[in-house]
Amino acid sequence: MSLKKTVAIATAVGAMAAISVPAMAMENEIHGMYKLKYIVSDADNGGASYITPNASNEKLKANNFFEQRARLFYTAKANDDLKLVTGFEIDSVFGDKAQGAINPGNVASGALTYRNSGGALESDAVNLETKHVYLDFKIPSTPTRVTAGIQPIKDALKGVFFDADVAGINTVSKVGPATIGLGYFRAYDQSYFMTATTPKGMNNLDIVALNADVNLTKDLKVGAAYYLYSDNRDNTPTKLHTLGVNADAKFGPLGVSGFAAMQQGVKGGSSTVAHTVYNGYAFNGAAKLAIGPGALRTALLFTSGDDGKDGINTSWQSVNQSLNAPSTGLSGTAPATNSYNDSNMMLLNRSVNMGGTSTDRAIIYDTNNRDQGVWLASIGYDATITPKMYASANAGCAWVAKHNAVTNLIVDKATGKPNGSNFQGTEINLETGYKMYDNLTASVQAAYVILGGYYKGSAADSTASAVKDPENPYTARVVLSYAF
Amino acid sequence: MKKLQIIPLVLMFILCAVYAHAAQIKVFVTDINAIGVQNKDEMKSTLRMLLSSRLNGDTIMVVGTAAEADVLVSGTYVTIGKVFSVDALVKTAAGKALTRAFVQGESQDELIPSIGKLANKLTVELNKIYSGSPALAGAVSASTSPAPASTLQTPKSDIIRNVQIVPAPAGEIIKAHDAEQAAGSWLSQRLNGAANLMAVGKSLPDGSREIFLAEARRISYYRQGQSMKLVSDTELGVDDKILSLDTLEGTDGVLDIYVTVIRAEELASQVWQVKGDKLVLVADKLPWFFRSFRLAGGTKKLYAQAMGRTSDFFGNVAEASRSGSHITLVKTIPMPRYGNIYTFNQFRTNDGNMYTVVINPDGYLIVYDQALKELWRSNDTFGGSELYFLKVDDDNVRTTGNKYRWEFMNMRIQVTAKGDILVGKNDGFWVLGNARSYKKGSVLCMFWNGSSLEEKWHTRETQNYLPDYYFDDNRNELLMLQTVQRPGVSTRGASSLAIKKVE
Repeated sequence: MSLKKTVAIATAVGAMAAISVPAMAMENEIHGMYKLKYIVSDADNGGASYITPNASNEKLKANNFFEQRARLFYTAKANDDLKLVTGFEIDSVFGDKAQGAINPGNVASGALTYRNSGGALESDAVNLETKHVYLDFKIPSTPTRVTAGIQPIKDALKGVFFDADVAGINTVSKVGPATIGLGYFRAYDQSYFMTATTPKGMNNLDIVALNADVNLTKDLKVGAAYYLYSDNRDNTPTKLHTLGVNADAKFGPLGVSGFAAMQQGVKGGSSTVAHTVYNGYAFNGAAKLAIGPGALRTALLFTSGDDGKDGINTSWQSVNQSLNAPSTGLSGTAPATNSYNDSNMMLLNRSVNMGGTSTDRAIIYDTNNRDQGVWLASIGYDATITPKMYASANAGCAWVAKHNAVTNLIVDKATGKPNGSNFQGTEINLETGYKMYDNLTASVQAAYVILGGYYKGSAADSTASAVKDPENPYTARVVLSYAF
Repeated sequence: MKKLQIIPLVLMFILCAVYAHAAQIKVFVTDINAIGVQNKDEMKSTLRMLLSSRLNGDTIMVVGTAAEADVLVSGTYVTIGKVFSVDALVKTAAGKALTRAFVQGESQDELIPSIGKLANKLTVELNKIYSGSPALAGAVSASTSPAPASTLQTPKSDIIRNVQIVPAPAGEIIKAHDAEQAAGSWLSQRLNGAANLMAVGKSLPDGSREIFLAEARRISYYRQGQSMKLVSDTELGVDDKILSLDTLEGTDGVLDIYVTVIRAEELASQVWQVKGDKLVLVADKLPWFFRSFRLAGGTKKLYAQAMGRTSDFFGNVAEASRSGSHITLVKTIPMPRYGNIYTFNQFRTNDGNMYTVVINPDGYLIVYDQALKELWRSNDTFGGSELYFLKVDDDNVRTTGNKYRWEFMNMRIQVTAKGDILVGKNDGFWVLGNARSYKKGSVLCMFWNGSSLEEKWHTRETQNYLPDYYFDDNRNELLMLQTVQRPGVSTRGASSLAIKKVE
């Protein structure tokens, strides 16, 4: 082929490609966040778990550490009704680990996949986590939108049952003023943890979500939700039904919201384990009023507790991670997959709007509160000091709803018995921030929890002869937050 | 040879004939009296402007003075109840009546289309008269001097038309167009404060014009004459953020300034008035998004939309009226997908259909038919605003790490009395997620060609972010607000206002 012809063909191919570009046009949407915290605390430690004051001595040395989290969200949008959504995360603590292993001599450490690493000298670490990968599309000629894949899901009960990233298929249909959601999620497939060959999809933790909202007026929205928690991973399967109603309304300048929910279910027994009946409740009410240069907030959460004395568990169940351990899926202490943000607490309960990095610890880490439930009352005020500066103050008090004879191992060393008080503690927290740019905020957070009578005399170094109370948890954080 | 000599003569004859045929009738619209209406003066000038622009065409050229004209058109606009009639009389320059025509309608909504019909009638009549009367035609021809060569040249203008041919620069030095003093353009001095929004008030007897600018929480009242003179300004509460700024003159002649304000995530909108050169608050804490505009190029009216408990823009947009602090919704306008009070307008097609045009969140212009089904979508993106408000986002905070969801506003879509669609467009090299920093802006004028929106003209790109614009239909002027310096930690930033004549 002559050079001329080759050039001509190349030009034609180039032109064709250029013409075809608009047809393949795709919108690229990128969002993300970066958060850096310097933390001084006797409770925060970079981990995710319950804060257990009774496990610590009367006097504690403070942790001080830097931790950072970056999240990147990339969406490939073919058109308004079809997009692929992905989300990635990189977590590190300054000085944690890098370059292949925490300690090359430590096989167990070296075997880590380097999630949450890369903050040590010379950094290089394989530390990119994939949080979300899902397809988001609308079924043509229907009002139904589908999200299929690994996605974030939060229940319609302010997250007190379930707030997590999970693989599944969710649909949302808009019909007039109503929004109807139906989803199926597979949290675990036990075949991946069994040594024997097992068919996939037979021994799962499945969650089904059905919810509906109706905007009756511009100032009133009501909704209802049903969740099935079906755990078939062992020979004592759990079936838990959660049914709730919620509302969000505005009366003049006052905004109110709340929910009421109940649970019914059973965990099958075996020759060695008695079956358990679940029968829990949860209620919430919250109000917000614009007043002065900001807004006053107050909220109350109740989740029922159980005394642990019979086969009927009357505590509110909330979902946890329970890798290969079905028994810890509800009442356990594994990393939480539920939340409650109305309180704006930093240490008292898991209010994820006050966190945002790897440190994820709270006294009432799950709304289940170790099968004891909780009464949590909170009040706060968000003030705009200048258009670039804000301050927020919150106070909250928490009581266990019911002492549980099995899970409550906190005892007053003076008596050797659990304290009679249900009062877990009072948190006072402050946050003030300055917007250096619209997207970049520097802030300071501080929280102090005054432990209640529930923890009296329970410090780890407390003895019958030298009774000591645990140290009050506190945290002080300097935060740099960039969101786009 | 003689036969050859005839050819130039024939050509000359043909050229003369073509020229005589192509000559335009010079028309001057003298005055249109208005009877039975309020704001007589404004209505008279509006009607005169409307009729002039609609008469102007291939065969008729509307001129600026009676001295230049072949014929003079005068008229009367009468309203009795809701019914109106517009009657026109055409005379020669010598005063001889040539023809009459009238149109009538049953509501104000029909007024603008009726003026178009009247112009068509007059055009037909004038064409008949001038084509059927050689004497008159000759007179026209004789009185029409050849167009000066300069009119064929591209005028220096900030308005770039699609048909305009721009000669290649002759030298190696290419002058920036903005450095030239473009014909028909005006640029304000540097104005203190980076304004996000602009609204035009009354035209004052001295020829100046009221301009209102809004920063995040400050309203400034200017008079635009030879320069922008700050008359008064006022600052809102520390927790307030201004989302929109509009004006509407009431039937009593008082100008209301509608300011959509968000406070603690709820709407707390306000209405201000100018009283004795001061801005006075007349209504507060109104739970509505406001916008006043000419829907489909019609009369400027007030519109409102509510905020829902979970949706930012709830329900449909409605025409609204105010009585004190009470807002009454009178007529609902169904919104298509992506439509809200700040992203839509309507236009009427040549065949009388009313279509809705919307800028979607990705910036594409979408045209919907009367059944709100999508008809057309642009390939380019338009709009773009750095103005936003925040809403607590508890549902997603665990994922995004951000307590708040960002809801960006968008640029207005304006439809002129002629049915042209104006839309702004901002561009920037850093427009990613919620981090927006636009660098250049322009305004485009488009028209519906029956199947898609087609560009008629666009302005030159500004060297700054263009937060807002406004087309003054009465004066045929385009006002473009520019951010020349963004606000900083201790500074308010700065703006400028450019006004361009749209010929």
